[in-house]
Amino acid sequence: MALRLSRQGDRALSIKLDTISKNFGGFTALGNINLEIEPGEFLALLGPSGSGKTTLLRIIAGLEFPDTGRVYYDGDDITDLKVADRGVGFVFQHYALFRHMTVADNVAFGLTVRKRRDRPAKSVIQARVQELLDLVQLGHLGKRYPAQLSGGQRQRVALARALAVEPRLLLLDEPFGALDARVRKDLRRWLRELHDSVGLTSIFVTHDQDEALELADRVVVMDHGVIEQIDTPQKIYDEPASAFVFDFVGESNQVAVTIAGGEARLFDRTLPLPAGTTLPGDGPARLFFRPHDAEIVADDKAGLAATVTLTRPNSGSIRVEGKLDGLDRLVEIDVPVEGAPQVGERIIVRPTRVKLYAGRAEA
Amino acid sequence: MTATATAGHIPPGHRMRRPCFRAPSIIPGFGLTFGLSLTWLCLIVLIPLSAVFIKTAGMGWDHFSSVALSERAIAAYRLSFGASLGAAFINAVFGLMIAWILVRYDFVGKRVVNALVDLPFALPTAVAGIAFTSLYADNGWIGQYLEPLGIKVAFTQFGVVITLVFIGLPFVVRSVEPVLADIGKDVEEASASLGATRAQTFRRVILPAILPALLTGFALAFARGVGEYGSVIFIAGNMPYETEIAPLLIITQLEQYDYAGATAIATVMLIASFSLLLLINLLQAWSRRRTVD
Amino acid sequence: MRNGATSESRLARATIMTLGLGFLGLFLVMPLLVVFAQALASGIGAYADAVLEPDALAAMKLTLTVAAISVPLNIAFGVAAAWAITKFDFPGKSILITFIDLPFSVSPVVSGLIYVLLFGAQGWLGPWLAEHDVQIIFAVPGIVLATVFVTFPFVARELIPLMAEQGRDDEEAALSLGASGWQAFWHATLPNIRWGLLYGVLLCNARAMGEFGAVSVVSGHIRGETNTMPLHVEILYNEYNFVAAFAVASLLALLALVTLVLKSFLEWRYDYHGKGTGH
Repeated sequence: MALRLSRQGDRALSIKLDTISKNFGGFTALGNINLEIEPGEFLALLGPSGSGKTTLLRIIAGLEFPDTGRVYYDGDDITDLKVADRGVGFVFQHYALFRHMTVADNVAFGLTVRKRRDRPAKSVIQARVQELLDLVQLGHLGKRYPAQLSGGQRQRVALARALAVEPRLLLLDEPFGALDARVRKDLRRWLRELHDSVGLTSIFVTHDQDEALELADRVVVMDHGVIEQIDTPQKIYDEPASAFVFDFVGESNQVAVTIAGGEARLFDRTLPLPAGTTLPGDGPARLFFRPHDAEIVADDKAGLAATVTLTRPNSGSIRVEGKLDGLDRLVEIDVPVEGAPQVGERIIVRPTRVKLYAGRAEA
Repeated sequence: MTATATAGHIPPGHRMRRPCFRAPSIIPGFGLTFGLSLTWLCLIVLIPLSAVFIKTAGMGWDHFSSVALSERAIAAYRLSFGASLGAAFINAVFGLMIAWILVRYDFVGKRVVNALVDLPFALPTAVAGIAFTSLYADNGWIGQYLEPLGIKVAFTQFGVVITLVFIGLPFVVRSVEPVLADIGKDVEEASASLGATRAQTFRRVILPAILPALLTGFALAFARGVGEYGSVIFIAGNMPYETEIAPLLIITQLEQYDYAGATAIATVMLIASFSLLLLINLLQAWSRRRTVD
Repeated sequence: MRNGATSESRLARATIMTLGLGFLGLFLVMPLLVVFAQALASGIGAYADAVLEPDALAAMKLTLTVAAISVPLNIAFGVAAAWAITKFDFPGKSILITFIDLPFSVSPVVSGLIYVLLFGAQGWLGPWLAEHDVQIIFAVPGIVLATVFVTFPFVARELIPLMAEQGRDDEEAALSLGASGWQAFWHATLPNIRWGLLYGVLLCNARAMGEFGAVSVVSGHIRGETNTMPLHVEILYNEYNFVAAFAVASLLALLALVTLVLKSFLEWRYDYHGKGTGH
């Protein structure tokens, strides 16, 4: 893909959030958020709805103001600066295109509202708009109106419009939320390339873990207004910092166990754990493992006893679903095609890689 | 299929369906309700209205123009249309402002204000007429402060404008309000995030979005003002050539049993009304197109 | 609270509020207040005399009678028209809708004139009516006709969008379960449209009782016989009997206020129209 925009890597912004909190009429949207974002980074804010991720993004943009705490751009406190004066690019979830303007006028908007002395000449604006439309591969649609475009095209117009003001920071709220699956995948890859070539700092909000893990340099997992974990996608997936993160990111199995005397116990029997597993202190705990981190062992061995309820192919292996003995819970594991169990068969599942977190599962 | 099948080619087992005026439906009552509506519409509206045009057609051009285009009639049209235009302009400005207040701001008593906006729809025009006359008379609540300043409202053309502002206000507010409420907050945020000031956002983003609705409200207020009678005659003074509105001229002709003269002026007004109706329909179609995403 | 991206500065907001509400005070509240102030200017006794005077009572009776005839006629027409238009597809539908709206764009005076041209002494049917001793113009039938004309669109134009939005599923379901057409209307349609119908009736009634121009043309202004309340107000006012004029006018103003309260109640309670209540 030809990206004709000059790299702006040296212009990319660093951001620091210092103990940000925000309440909406008694509801804590954000509680004491601390976060530092490197220049040029591509960051994902991941969490379920109501986790505060969008509020955080809007505070970074200046569309919302925190109750307490400060926001710094490149070390400057800009907490009280209005969005219009921050020079950030913001792409809205439903694009928020101006319906009565052509695509080209939409993209030009940010330049044409500048004060006369900062405003580029008409011809410069025109050239810039064409350059941006070419960049988002809509060079031929400048005269159309937003209503005449598809969802994916509108998304790209919104992006071009945000980039027109040469922002040092690009913020995207659920950028792929309103698109169908195929378009979403294409746009995702394209957005990553765009970020790398333009070289600005980008932050996007998503509730889709695949999107966050595939796109971002670092992922911020949020829940109930607090940050659960900030890490690279690999670390988020392999070493979830909390039960919430394990549960929310990727597929997982969960079993409530009791820790006593350096062992995990289920129904008063010791559950064998892989070597090197770190145990929390004595008391109730939650044991998590991924479907691909488990094996079926001989039925005289100790492990999680289950009855197979369903088997189906799952990209090269067989996904086995079973009901755990004595628990009202399903277990899902991936096993090789050869020797996969049949429905109704009893199996013993032994995780090969687990994480244990102290505490009980929420009801 | 049945439409193209000729009698000779009807396949066995297929019965020819009668061509139907309406699309087939299992819901009954079309004949009854459609027939009733159409009959009533013709009896009450269409036939009586056509009487005006038929009577005018029988007048001959000279007779028609001597009445409908007389100096006095022209002066009356000028007042009716001019005052309506002025009132519609005032309403466009303040109606937009009130719609803005109702959509964007929260304040104590908002529900009362919202209800009050429809007062001109609910208050009989004669009541409004005597109320405004009383307010703006030389010794009235408002008139007494204007009189020393040399401003006369009652029994002047200015008074006509004032009452027409009252009559037309809800048209603008109620046209603009839903469209204004429908503008997404995100669109305004997008404008701000691109560096636009609040004034720029209003002028470049909000105003173009509500323009069709605003024009529709303007045209509705204007159309209503042109035909208005009850509220205006009390405050107007009704001096020929000065403060005589066109509907009053019709009444005057009728009182002199000059039915042809009354009809001639009515024809001019009906043509104006229908042109405005057409314009309003076009504006509304435009407005709908703009609000459909 | 700091100003967000989508709100005006405090000063701009205060200016807009002051101008807008000031305008409403000047153009809506003051006229309303002056009606009641003038009505009570000579005390409650004079007010009661004016309201209870025989001609005033006759005017009230006539106004109520005219509304009691014309409103039900418009309900019947409005429901029938809305049923035909929303439950069936036929060519020329939009023209029909435009025709139904037509009376709104006709000057009230012209609305009265058309019936004079038809039924007046010099009108098309005038001689025939005179022969058979039927009086329409300068009599109650003419007043009813003019009132029906000016209130013609009210019920239909409330019901048409409402019924169009609700589609035909309910009726088709009722019919498929064996209901007759009348039962389908009564049990499936009516419960869905009753608030819209009430809303239309409310506005229709307010206009029917308050109409001045059209009624003025056909009434003949015979005191105690063909004077409706608004016409009675005019006569009293032209006789410089201001207290009495405003006293009768205050009753009409009260009617308007009741109409507005009921209308707001319908909008609020049933979220009907849902407009004007902010975001």
